[in-house]
Amino acid sequence: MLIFSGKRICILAISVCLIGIPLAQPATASVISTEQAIELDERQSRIDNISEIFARDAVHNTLVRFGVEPADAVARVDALTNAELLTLEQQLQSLPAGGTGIVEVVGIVAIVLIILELLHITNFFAEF
Amino acid sequence: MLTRRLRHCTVVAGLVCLSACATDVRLTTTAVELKDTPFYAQVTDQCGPSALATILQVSGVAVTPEVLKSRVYIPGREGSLQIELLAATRGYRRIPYRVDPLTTALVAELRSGRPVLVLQNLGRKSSPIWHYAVVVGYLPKENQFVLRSGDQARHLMRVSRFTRTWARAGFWGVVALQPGELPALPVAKKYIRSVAGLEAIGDAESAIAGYDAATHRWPQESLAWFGLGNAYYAQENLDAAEDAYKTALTIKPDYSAALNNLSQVQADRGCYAQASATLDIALASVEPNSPMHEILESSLSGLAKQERKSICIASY
Repeated sequence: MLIFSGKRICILAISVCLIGIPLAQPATASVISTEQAIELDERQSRIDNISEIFARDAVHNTLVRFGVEPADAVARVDALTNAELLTLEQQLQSLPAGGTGIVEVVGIVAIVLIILELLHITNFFAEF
Repeated sequence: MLTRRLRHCTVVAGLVCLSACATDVRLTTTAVELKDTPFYAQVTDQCGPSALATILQVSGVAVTPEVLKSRVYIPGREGSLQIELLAATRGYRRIPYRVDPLTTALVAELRSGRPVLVLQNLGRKSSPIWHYAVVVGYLPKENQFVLRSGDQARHLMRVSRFTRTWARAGFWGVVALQPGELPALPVAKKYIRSVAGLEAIGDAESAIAGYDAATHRWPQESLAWFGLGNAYYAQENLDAAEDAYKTALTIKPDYSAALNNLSQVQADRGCYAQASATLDIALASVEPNSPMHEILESSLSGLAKQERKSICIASY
């Protein structure tokens, strides 16, 4: 029932006030909480890790071969959400650290495709 | 069988994602058993409240499974979520700390006098039987762990079998720390993050004790000083907050979050020019377009809107 008597409205108003009290912050409070600082910090270190991988010769060259300016790719990383960043970082961790064998080359291409997809540079996978 | 005795104690397993966890089998040779650990026989499917009450009691909180039931038990799912056990622990002003995914970490906690609440999967990966138990002892000669589990006050489980069931549950294990107490094998960031959970629910007093312990253990860890500053700020203790932020900044001069919060302290004192100068230093050190840059910009514009006090009562 959606009938609000005067009494109910009064109770509602009081409840709202009571709920509001513990949340009341000093007008000046715009401090960064510790949890928030940790999250921001982790985000930055993820971006740094990813940028470092982009800078590797093999990845850099593959990106160029796919017609992507690596600087643009790095700029797009900044715009990712925290969840997307985590996914990208996890995918990139499976990238071989070095070597020029066929396994590594295939791996790098696969990873670059994932990068392109996640950064919405191409819709590679959607076309199949 | 054990699983039958557990009477379908189910657990709503949260996201458990741990990779490359190796279990160190080189355990020490002396036995340890926390015999005074209370035992709450599990009622029907409520292993979560029983196990949590056990570790909270040991950390000095007088609470029973019945009381905890309403906080951590989800009747519709006949189980408890890990995340709710952590939240309830904080609610009783204790710091829940995830132990490292190693049996040696469990034994180290036992040697420090703390039983460990663990999640086990007593079934298979494909058909899990989730269960919370409390590890209270380790018997190297017998190669067994001692657990308070289900309706058994002293359940003995072979190390290998225990490790398998624990591994299948993502090596999830938690100790309840009193504010100010450090875990047996403390990891700075992980510990500070655990304390930050108490700050987040508004328990500044416990958070101060936690951060304080962290600054003593890791005096060069700027995050610990930053957290300490935040907890003091929450108590409106501007002098102590300022001291802590400044210590963090001595360690890490371009610490933008600490600069932002320090500028708040300065603004609260009516020192707007000082506050704005502090924010300028921070802005110079962060990338434009970064989330931190946005926060600092909004602090700066917030400063302009702030009600002006006539005098600046600077303590420094």
